[in-house]
Amino acid sequence: MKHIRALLVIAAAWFLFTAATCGGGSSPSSFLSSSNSNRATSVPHAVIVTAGPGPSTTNPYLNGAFVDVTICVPGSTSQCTTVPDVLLDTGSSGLRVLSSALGGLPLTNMTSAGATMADCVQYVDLTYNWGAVARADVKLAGEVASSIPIQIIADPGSTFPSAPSSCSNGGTPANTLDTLSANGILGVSSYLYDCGDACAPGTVSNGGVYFACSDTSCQVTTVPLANQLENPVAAFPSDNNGISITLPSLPDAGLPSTTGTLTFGIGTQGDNGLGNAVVQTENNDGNITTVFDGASYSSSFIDSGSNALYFLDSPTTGLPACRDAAGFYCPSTTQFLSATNTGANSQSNPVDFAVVNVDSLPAPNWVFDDVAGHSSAGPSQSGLPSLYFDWGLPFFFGRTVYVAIEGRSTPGGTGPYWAY
Amino acid sequence: MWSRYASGLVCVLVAAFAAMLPARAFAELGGDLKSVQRDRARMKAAVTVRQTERYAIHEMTSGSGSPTVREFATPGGRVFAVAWQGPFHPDYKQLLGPYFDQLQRATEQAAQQRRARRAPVMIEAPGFVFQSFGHARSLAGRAYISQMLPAGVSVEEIR
Repeated sequence: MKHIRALLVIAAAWFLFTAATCGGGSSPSSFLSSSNSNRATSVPHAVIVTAGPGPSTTNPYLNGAFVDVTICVPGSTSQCTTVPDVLLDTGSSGLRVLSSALGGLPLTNMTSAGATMADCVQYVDLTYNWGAVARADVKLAGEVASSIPIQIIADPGSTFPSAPSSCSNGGTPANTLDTLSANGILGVSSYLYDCGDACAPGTVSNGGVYFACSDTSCQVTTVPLANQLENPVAAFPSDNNGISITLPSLPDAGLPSTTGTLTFGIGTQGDNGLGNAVVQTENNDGNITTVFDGASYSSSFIDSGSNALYFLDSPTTGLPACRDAAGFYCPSTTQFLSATNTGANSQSNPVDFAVVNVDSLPAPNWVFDDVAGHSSAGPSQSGLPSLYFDWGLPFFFGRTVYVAIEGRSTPGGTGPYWAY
Repeated sequence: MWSRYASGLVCVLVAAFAAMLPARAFAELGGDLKSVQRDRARMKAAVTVRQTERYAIHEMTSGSGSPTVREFATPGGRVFAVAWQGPFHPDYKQLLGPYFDQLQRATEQAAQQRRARRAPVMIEAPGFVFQSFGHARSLAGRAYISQMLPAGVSVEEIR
């Protein structure tokens, strides 16, 4: 039922999109017809984003953004499954899906020198996803990324070898619905690949990212770019230079959930242009500079997978840490703050934001534009790289945020950049 | 920034290309520097040593986008702090030595009540501090043994 509703919403949204860009004079049937000469190369290029707690009832995702992703056996139109509630993540690249969410779809694991290839991504919070890599067709709206490597996150009960210690690396697994709090992760950052040159042949060591596995054990290996997890958007035949995410404004007290749009391509269609968004190019580390209270923080970034605005620390901001919610700020009254973001191209944007008391969030609500925490902790450490702004999902509410893929040209210049 | 700490006495560059072994071996936190000497022979890594007034920094780079690891050693040759920066996490078991178990315990405990997602990590165990920050493909962090910090050395220098 939920899926039917979602499909209807997507269909309605696409109808509105198309109607808005085709002059409104055509009949509805022409939108479905391939003979629409105005947009002969246009395919539906937007999907619904649901911001909310996600699919896990035991471990909900505070401030998660989710999409449905259709995955098919390469070349097949019948051997497909649609996976709901996949986390929309502008902070990573590549599609990762729980094995248990694939409904037995017969995907073939890729091999590396005869051994099964596995991928491990360990995030900043030391959670990790572990599992095999298989080629699949990835479908979003009318877009298809054909036969791209995706990660099949290993079911702990499966026969796939468990994560080697260089993958777990002192962290905790996010390989189930209740530890991932999603059915998968759709990584649509500005990077083309999840690891890139650091894992390609010719490197000394890729740490613990790609592995070659026998039935019982796994060894670190290098993998050519063509076999690494790829940003699915980059693999679309068109609308492949980036994305934009539009989410509505929220009331101060938040909402149980809300919906918005993930649109593919930047300036590739009549309805996905930059408008008056300011383009901020990323530096070599994928960062921009945030100026706050007269100080400059050059390791700042935007990440829809981060569920709060994580910035600075209590000594620097004067915002007290929460008693209960570890890592978050809990001012006694809501604080209204502002900062300025500047790209490597010196283009700037002011950003107004608020910080609420996370220990007293209204119970039924799961999406907020004003939850925040620290990027560092302990004694004041001015100038440290641990002092930065991570503009997480709260930043996305009330905006359209564009993410341009590295090396891809757009009307606003060549990626990587953010624009909003 | 790094040159700020290089106001000291010696700067030695030792590039050892003796073996093709993966560069996973570092002196561990709390350990002595003998293992650094052994590592030099085995690692395909460049080791830069900078001596400051209060400690020595052994910086290990394996090239090609691997994490850069900096080990901070007391004049007596004990590693009291480590810092790292790179596209992925370093091997913490190797790097943290006996403190790895504390990291593991702390992350398991944090996972029980996690509300922060894709957020920086700060672990303060008795005598041991661990921080991880940044984002995918641009990660950094530090770990140190509180009581081994030489007098007059601030945490901010561990980077």
